[in-house]
Amino acid sequence: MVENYIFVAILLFVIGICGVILRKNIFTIFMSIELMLNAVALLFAIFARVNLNLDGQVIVMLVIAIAAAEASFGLALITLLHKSKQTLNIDSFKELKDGNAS
Amino acid sequence: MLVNIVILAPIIGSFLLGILYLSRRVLGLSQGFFAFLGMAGPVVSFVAMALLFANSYGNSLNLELFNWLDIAGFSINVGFYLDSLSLVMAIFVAFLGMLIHFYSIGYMDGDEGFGKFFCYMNLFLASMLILVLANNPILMFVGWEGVGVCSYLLIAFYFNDKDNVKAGNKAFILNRIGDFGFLIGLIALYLASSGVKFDYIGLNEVSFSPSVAIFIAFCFIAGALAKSAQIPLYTWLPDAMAGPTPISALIHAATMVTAGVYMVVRFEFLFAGLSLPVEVLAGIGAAGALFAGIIATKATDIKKILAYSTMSQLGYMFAALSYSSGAAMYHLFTHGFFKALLFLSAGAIIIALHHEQNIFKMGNLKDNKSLYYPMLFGMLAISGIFPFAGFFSKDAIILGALLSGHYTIFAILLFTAGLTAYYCFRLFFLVFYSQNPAPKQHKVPFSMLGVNYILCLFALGGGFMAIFLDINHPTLMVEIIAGVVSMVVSAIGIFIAYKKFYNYKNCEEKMGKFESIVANKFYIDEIYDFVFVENLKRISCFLRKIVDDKILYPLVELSALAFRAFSQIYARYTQSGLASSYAFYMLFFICVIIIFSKAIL
Repeated sequence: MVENYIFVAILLFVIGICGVILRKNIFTIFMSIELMLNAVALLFAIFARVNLNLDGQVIVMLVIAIAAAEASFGLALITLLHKSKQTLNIDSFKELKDGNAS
Repeated sequence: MLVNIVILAPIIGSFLLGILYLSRRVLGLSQGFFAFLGMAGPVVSFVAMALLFANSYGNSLNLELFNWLDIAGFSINVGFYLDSLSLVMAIFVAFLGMLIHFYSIGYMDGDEGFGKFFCYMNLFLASMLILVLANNPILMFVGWEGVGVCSYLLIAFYFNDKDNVKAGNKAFILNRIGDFGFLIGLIALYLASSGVKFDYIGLNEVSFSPSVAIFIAFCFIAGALAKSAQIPLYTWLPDAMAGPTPISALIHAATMVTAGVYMVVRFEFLFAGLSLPVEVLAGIGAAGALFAGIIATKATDIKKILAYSTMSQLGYMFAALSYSSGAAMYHLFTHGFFKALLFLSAGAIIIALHHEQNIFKMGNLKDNKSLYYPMLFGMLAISGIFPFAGFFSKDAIILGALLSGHYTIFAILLFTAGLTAYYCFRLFFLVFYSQNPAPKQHKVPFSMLGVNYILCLFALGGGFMAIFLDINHPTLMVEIIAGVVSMVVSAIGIFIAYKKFYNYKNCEEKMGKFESIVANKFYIDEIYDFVFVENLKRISCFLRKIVDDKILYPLVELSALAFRAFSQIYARYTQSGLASSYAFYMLFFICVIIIFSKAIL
């Protein structure tokens, strides 16, 4: 039983990673990050169930709370980014690039 | 404790003098103040030393003061070993040091670096006392290097003159060559004696295997040859006369240069039972005595003549080490007194004649009795005329050589005694009796003359030092015969000098071919220059121009270039500024680290 849950968690995590790396839309990337967080939360929940204690559940609650906080920050940030460039394509935000190297 | 005062007084003195000299303009300190402070250290040190001498002469004392180093089994204590040898030597050093400090007040009068001079002199005295009194070879080496650096600083005291700086460097570098040997010897000694307490008492009980002992002995001899200016490391001593005259007297005649002899005697536990190193040393000493004596007969600079005679007399001491260290120490002490006297009276003459040092430009000074008598006493003492101190000690060495069967050394030393008398009285007659016009005379300060008179007494009566030393006495009859023989030899030397230079009139000396070679010091300096300096220069030029410029520098440049090219390519493809590619790198390298750590652990 546990293996199935872990398999689902890994699948979710990998989908999240692929989303972060491959997608261009910031909203989609953001959702993919949430997906990765959920995958981890699922693992914690599974292990808490297997080990018959509540520590994992507590951490899951913590993760959900922090994910909510992160979501509010992230959405505000995306709004600001959109305001400055009128686009949500991640490739337009290249300010981190070192001007001398190109 | 008295020994602390003996050592600390000059150290504190030099420290204060140094600090106050640097701030003399701010504080407005006068020369008198520096003179007082400069005298305080040596006087306190001498008084303490005299008390110490009176208290503990006759029984040897090993004082441990504190632990200096303690690293993983390597432990060195700072401590002092007071036996009859070190006590006599230390009181001799403290006494002469004090006198010469007093003399310097007159000699350095009005000099810009007055305070600095006394700072160095105090430091020298402290180092010399450490060298003499130390109870282990490492602490002795501290003093050994201390006197070396003071000698360097004082030779190059007038550092505005390039020649003086060169002379200082020469002394310093030649001494480093010797010290290199000494240091290797110390390390070998430490390794060979592992397990015992590393001081003279502990080392006394170690039995070294002969080959190791010979190796260490030769290393130490290298140090002694450099410090005591013997063949082949002697060329620094004549040049060292560039320093102020009190330095020549204190450091380069009476105390520091004799450190080599003292060291060999101090390490008797090592040298005893080894015939080879000591015989070699004696051979070098005898050859050096003759060689320096020959050069001295043609030198014209009053101080250089005395410098060569110092080297010659040190040769006597080294020669004596092979059969009687007592006689060597005896000559060390008497020589210290009369050579200091000679240098100091030469200094008085130099001051009186406005820094004229060429003996052929002096003349007819015999009416100035305050210059005449000290020089006469010194000359008689060094020539070995009864009853001056030099007679007894030199006779002890020459007779010792004969009685112990060193016939070659005996012959050389006896001949050198005549040579010594000749070149000394050549100087004496030229300065005091020749008809050459001398510059107008200048008044000599009292402090210089006073010290000269005191030293006159010691040049006359210094033979009493024999009571503190362990010297073999053959029968009285033998001694009288030997004394008469060496007196006759000296008298012949004096007579030749009298014939040639009494009422001498020419401002130069006529020279044949051999004589001009002698006057040029056998071109030893030039040979050294050619063999060592020039070749080193050539090698360094080769390394600089070919190896460095043509090989190493391009290599360095190339590697920098390659690195730059690589980094530019790398940066162009990786630093794209795209968040998703950065996220990919992060993920990729996290995976790599995980796999790597899994594979390793």
